[in-house]
Amino acid sequence: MSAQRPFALLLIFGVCALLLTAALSLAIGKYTLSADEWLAVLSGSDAPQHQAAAQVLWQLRLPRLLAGILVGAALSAAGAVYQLMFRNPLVSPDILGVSSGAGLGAAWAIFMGWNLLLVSFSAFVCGLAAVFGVYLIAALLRRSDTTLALVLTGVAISSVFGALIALLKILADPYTQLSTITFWLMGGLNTVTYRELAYTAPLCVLALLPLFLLRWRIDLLNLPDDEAATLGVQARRLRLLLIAAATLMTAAVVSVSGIIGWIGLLIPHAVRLLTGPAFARVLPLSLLLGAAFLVLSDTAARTLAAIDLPLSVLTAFIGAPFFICLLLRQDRKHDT
Amino acid sequence: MISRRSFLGGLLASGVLLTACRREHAPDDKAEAQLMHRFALPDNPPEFRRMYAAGPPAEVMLYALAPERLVGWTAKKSPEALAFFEEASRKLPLLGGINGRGTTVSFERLLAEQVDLIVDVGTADETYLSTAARTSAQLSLPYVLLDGRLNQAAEQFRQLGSLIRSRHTDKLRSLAEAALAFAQDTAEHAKGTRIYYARGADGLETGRQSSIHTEIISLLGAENVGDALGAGGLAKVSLEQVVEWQPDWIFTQDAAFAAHALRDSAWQGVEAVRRGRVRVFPRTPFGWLDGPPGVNRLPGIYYLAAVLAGKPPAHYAERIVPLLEALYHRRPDSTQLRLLGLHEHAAA
Repeated sequence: MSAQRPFALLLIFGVCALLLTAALSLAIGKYTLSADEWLAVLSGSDAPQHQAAAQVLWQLRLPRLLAGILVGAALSAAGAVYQLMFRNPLVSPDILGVSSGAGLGAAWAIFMGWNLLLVSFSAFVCGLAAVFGVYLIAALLRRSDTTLALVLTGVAISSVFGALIALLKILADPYTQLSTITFWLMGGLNTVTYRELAYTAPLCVLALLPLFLLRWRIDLLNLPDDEAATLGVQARRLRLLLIAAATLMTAAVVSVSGIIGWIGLLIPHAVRLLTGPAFARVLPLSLLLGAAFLVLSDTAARTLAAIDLPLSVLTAFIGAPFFICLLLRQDRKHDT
Repeated sequence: MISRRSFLGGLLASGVLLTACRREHAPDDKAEAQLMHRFALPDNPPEFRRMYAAGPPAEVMLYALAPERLVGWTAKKSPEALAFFEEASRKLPLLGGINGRGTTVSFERLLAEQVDLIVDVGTADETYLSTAARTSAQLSLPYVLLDGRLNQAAEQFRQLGSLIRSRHTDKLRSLAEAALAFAQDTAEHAKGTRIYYARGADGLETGRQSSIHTEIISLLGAENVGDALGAGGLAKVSLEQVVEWQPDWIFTQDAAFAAHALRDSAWQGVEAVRRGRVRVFPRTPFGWLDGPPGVNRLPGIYYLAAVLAGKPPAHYAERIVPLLEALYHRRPDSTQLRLLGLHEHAAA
């Protein structure tokens, strides 16, 4: 059975996949670096004739690669947490409204003509606020099934935010703001700078920390709350912590990349097929493969067409067929 | 294990850290209400040879000033639109545009094309100023952003033209000045004429007060009925609202909409439609009323004045054709003039 594959081997596979895609992403692009330029740039030469090449490598490709790794890893990890917590493999990180909240924040900031950093900040804050609101409302509901209350509230709040985004799109200037909003909602890494990475990366690490430290306990959320309690796990508390961590991570990366679909749903799902359901195994491999998948998608996004394509277009094009294949394979396994 | 309190504390602290982000941009010069914002532009700039227009309005202006130095188009052009430009520029590559987070151009491609100046024309708000600052820093390229109001067209030509040392500067500036002066002179006649600008396939999108999309209407002294919606960009309105406004004229750039309105029974509630006062403005190679909101609207001034004065547009052909020729560096041929309603017979 697939779950028995040696985990170390899978980890090596994940690391190799990430290294390969990273190398590919640095190597190709619209600007073709000659062998001379590669040598000069890598040896740190600052000769004027190599300035453009250095610019391409250090100011364009490298920050984009790092952003791809960060965003892919964070969205996949958040997806893994949510899929486990909600005991549902079809859940993605935006189930509690973080993406629609961030989308509304960004759309509003773009509509108001704020600067790019404030657009990111507004997306980040609204993403967190949306999930916080969902959590509060769900807590008020006092239903016995907390996760269901959360999901239902998340769906409701998301649709309100979706409507508000649609309203802003109608009101936005079609030549300038509308395309910016639309593009933001489809995600992209083309304007990411080191400065944004410096804000985002620490938040992601901060959010990953509890996931790593609690990776063995998280599996117990699969049990009913009272059973988990007999094993010394306070399910409610743990759940709150996980939601906070996954939300922080998602909001942080979405604020710089825009909304990128599919990856948070696809990667953890695929990883579980490889490793089995244990979160301690799903998490590291999700981080690695998520990063590799996003880096690959982004490389395609910036090389396939004459213009830079939105990332969600690529993740859906690559992700959806792959996902269907997985489902078919799984089906076949059940049949036999 | 991390306690919840310390975790939330950390979360709060990181939020505060982010709030501390200051204005991201710092244009090199600080004049109030300036027209041109410069980023990383040297004091004595060299002659720019390969220039990239970041958006459609900049494309029109840069093409007019220096067609041979434009490196590519920001958006795909129809064959009809391309036919208005000189032969060589029809083959320019499609590069995409810079539009805040909606940037579609590949920055690497700009470096590969050896671009030496990026020009943008349009709204100089925080989004665009910060985009310009960021892009200029990322690419180590000079970047200028011009405020793109139509009544500043002559000044835009003068400032950008002198920066890039265009030999067409004086001609374009004087043609723009003439068009703007003409608009001012005719403004008296148009006073009180109420115009509804119908955008989109259903014609139910319009420009609000001070919107860049309807500035040509107010420039000519006419009244944009959408002003009643208050200041802002575009708005979606209902047909009922248009019926209530009862504009004297309906202007559009969408021929399909005009045909639909004239046929559709619901639109007959608008008197202007019943009287056939629906006018389609040309949109090749760029819109004449709007779309993009750039200097491509200068010929529209004469076109609009002709419509309001009850004359065929060809009445002003002598003013419009040289303007088109100056903007697009090719005299429209007879088929194109006919399409634009500017051929000689129409003037008679």
